[in-house]
Amino acid sequence: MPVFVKVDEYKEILDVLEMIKSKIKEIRATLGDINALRNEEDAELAMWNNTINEVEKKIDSIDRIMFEPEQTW
Amino acid sequence: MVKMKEQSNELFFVQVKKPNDVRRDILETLREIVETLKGFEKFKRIRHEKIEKIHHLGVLLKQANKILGDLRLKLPQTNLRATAARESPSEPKKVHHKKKKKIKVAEEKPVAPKKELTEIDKLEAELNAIESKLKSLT
Repeated sequence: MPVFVKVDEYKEILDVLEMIKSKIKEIRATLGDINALRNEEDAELAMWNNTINEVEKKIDSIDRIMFEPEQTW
Repeated sequence: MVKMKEQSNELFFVQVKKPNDVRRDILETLREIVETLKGFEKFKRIRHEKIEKIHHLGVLLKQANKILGDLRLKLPQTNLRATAARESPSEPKKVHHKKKKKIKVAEEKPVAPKKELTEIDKLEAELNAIESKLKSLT
């Protein structure tokens, strides 16, 4: 059974569809931004992890040196 | 004078092995800690920006939902049903049962909660309505 829509309403529907399409574009862009920000966060956390590993190594080295003095007097 | 001499006799000194290495290690550690603090500030900014974006996404989704609702209203209201020829003879009975159950669930739900509806409850109700409409179309 065919459905008929008035021409002016049909135009309105097309306009609404355009609006939805642009909204979806905007949503997609925002999702992309959120994804990029999450990646930045992850990268920052990975960097902290590396830094803490480095710091730990250096502190261990200092600890070793201080624990084994050359001589005392 | 005697006391001073006694004190100086009690003092002990320890020679640090590789003092330059120790100094360098301490300075490098300090530099890394400061860089991490800088990174922490950057992280806070990123997180703030992300929260804002998520909020914006929520607004956009609500707007899209509203526009879709408008679109649904603009489309003609018909009671279109799929032709029976598509369905196999055994299927209609099952569908009928499910429909009955769904209708029962739909009838029971609005009666029970008289508390304030949260956003999730509203969306859940909206989803149920859409699901039942979709079921009636197929």
